[in-house]
Amino acid sequence: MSSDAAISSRSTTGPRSLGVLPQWMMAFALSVCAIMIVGLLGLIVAQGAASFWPKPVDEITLHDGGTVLGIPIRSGVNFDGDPQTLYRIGNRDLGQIPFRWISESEIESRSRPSDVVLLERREWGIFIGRLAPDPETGETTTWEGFAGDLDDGAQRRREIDGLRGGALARVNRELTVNRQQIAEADLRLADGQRSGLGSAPWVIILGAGLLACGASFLSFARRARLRGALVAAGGLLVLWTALERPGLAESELVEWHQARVESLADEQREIEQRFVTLNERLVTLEDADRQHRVSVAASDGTLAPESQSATDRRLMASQVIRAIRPNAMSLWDRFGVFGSRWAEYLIDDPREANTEGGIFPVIVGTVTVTLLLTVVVVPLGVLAALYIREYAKQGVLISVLRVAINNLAGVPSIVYGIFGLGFFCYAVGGYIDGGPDASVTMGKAAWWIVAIGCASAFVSALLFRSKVRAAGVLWALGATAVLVLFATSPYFDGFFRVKLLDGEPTFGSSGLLWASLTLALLTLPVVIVSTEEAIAAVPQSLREASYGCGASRWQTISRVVLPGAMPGVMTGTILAMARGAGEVAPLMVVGAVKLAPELPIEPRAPFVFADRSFMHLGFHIFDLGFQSPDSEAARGMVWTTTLLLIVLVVTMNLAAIYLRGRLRSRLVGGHF
Amino acid sequence: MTTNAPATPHRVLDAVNEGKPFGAETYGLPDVTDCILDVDRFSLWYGAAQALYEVSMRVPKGRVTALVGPSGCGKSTLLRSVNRLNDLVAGVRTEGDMLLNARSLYAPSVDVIALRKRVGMVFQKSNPFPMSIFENVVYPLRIAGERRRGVLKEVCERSLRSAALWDEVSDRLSESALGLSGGQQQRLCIARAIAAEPEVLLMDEPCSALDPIATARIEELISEIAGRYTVLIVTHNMQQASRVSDFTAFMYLGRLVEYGPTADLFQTPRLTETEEYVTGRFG
Ligand SMILES: Nc1ncnc2c1ncn2[C@@H]1O[C@H](COP(=O)(O)OP(=O)(O)OP(=O)(O)O)[C@@H](O)[C@H]1O
Ligand SMILES: [Mg+2]
Repeated sequence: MSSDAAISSRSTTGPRSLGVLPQWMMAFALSVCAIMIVGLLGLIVAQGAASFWPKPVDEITLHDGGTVLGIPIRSGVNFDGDPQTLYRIGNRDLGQIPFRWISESEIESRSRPSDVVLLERREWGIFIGRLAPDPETGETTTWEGFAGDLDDGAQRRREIDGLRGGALARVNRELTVNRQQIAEADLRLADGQRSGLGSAPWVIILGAGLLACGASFLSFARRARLRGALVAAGGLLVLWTALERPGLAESELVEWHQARVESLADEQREIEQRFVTLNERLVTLEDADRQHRVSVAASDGTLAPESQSATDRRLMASQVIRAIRPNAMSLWDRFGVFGSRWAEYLIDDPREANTEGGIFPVIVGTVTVTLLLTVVVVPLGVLAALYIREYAKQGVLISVLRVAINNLAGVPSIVYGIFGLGFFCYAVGGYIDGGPDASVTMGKAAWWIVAIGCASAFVSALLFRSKVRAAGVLWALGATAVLVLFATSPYFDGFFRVKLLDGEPTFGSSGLLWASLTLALLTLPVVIVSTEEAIAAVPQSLREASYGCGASRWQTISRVVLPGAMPGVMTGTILAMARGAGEVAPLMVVGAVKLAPELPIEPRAPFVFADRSFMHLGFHIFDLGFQSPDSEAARGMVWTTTLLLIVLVVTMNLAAIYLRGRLRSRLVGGHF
Repeated sequence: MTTNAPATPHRVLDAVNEGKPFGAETYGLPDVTDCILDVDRFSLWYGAAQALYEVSMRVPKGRVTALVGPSGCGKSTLLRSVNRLNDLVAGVRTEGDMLLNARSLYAPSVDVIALRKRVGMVFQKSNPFPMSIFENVVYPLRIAGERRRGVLKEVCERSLRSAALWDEVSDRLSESALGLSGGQQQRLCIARAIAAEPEVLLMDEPCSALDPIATARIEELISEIAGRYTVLIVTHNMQQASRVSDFTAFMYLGRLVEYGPTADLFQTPRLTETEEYVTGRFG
């Protein structure tokens, strides 16, 4: 009895006191997590959204008699313990430092005069002042007249920009292409006398290889007609590429070269003619634009200049992007400005070392690189996972492989970046640009011996597929040999040799393609692991049902396993996309830049310019926050860009979760 | 093993214990020419563990044959060997052979996929695909490359009618099969198995997860289709075996022990083990 009581007392008091403690600890941990997440998100949303809100401008009279116009940013305490306020005072081109701490002890009085004008300009940041009399006529325009002047200026600016970025840029491009064509013709002449072959055999080999791969893959499908059409199309493509670079006899070559260079020179003259015409128009437009100037004076009466080095000339109307009277705005006006700043932010190019203007190219770059990486990583990861789960014999080798894949997920991302730079950019890219390095190029005889050996190995592996035990090893050896053949070909001298000799690598430096591939590599483990789990979760009974109906392995995989694993594939894709979109370190090495002159996608062939460098949100945040010349000026942009990145990632996640949910509900069915 | 000593000795058990071979008690079967499947001294190992010991049995064409026996005696293994589903299990090794219409099933030249089209299978746990009812039924035709809508529709209706499911689902063919009840799902699986017009239908405890009414429907169904297909059914339910089957094989410890017409085997079993099992004294 007594022992019973002891047991019962222990079982009531002991476990209960211990039962509450873990629960409290868990609740505490959860709330800490929740507070951190909500706090971080709230801070980013609040700061990001607020940084475009038009704030009022103070006019401060100092004890020493001077006046300062500035936007109060935040308050603090100086070394003497006096309270002080940070003002954004702009007017950088007048020699002012655009941010200034003013301590309370210096201040005589403060006011918010309604006639203060704030200009957002293309260059030199903001200007704070008042409308001033025109020095020639002595008249001061009204606010409405001033706004009208600015509108006209913006119109003229659009025209000039359109000309410069449109027609003139096209002509410039044509000139570059023309110059490269001449260089290529010269090179062909030199090459032709040396080998007389050019890249034609190379192109044929590549095309045939691709065709063979495509055909063997398509043989899964029963669409013989489609396959035939594809093969024919591929063949024509290869033929066309080969015909583009015909091998010519020596005398013919010289003749051809002369004719070609002459026609190209004619073309060049014609293009230059057009260039001159366009340029004249541009000069006219710019001259006209220079006639329209506005008078805005800083608090000390100095007029806003055209630039820091041209203080004698007044600001041109077309240099102003937006003018507001921050102290005389209704709430409605403020919302209008707020909206137009956001719009500018989302659809314009950056200005002023990225601290002003928009981030459109950054968004485009991020989205493009993320989509490209997804296009690469998802098929690769899914195929790999399928092989591991459905084809490979589960043994030591596969276990080792699985551990290796899991470990890959833990490799620091900068390591991927460095690998991408070394392997993709320099090795593969350099090869694409200029062909194999002279030190590894094989002699022609040796190359043909290896090529013939390799071809016969492939043919025999194909013929005796069922009889050869180590067919896999043969395939691997064959594939390696083909790679070696590619890497050492004496017949290939690069697709972009002309540009390379011009000192301008195409694929041989960091760029969109290599960045996407590096990120794909980085996110591959995520996709493989989640796909593998999803495949493993497809009930064996469904596979048996399929096999029991007489389905082949591929049919079972494509009709039952893969659809069943789709939610998992989606999860992996989301994770990969989110990770790729948010990654910074590897991108710094393989392609993201502070300012890309051109977008990586353009509405002209080939649409995606895989060799170009691009801008990226994650890198942009780093750049704004830590690399910009004026970190105070970049502060607002850091917040908004962070907000945007988070919105982007969250949107992608939500979209994918929604998709996954739909897929799942389709798989599970309505009711039971 | 039992308290009341048996009248006759346990011949099989003794033989197994002493490691001696013994012949299965087989009687009352039709001619070899009337048999569609001929299992010839078939043995099977899962890795090192042997699951079937030289099983030899003939399955009469167009009749229902039941496989009974205690749990783990190898009924499912034998059934899955007929359509070579055991090939999917890693480490399976076989000896002996099976002949379907006098053609070997285990010769190296056999096209396993073609074989599985001729031998349909219904599993213990219903396993409809997460697709529409229609797609489930026509799955065997789809994978055979049939694309003509008319043919698919016709086969779907015929199969569902054969499986006694048509009236219940004819107006919701495009809905998910997972929305059906358990019994309907099992009948759907039967419809799917007979859609390809197999010669032999293998059923592994098709009613074990169903209530008595659903069970009755499926039993009816088996009797109906019996003439057209050869049915090989595994069951734990002795009443069911006696109701639906023409012949019954009793398996024990991986061996075929007694095999004959159902009525004889249940009423006058020749071996003690069989008698004890069918009367429910062990198993
Ligand atoms: N995949 C497998 N791997 C290893 N051993 C297996 C496997 N499947 C079955 N076995 C073994 O083979 C023997 C026969 O199994 P089987 O499933 O054929 O029995 P059964 O007669 O169908 O039993 P039940 O009536 O319980 O379904 C058992 O001992 C079982 O443990
Ligand atoms: Mg079983």
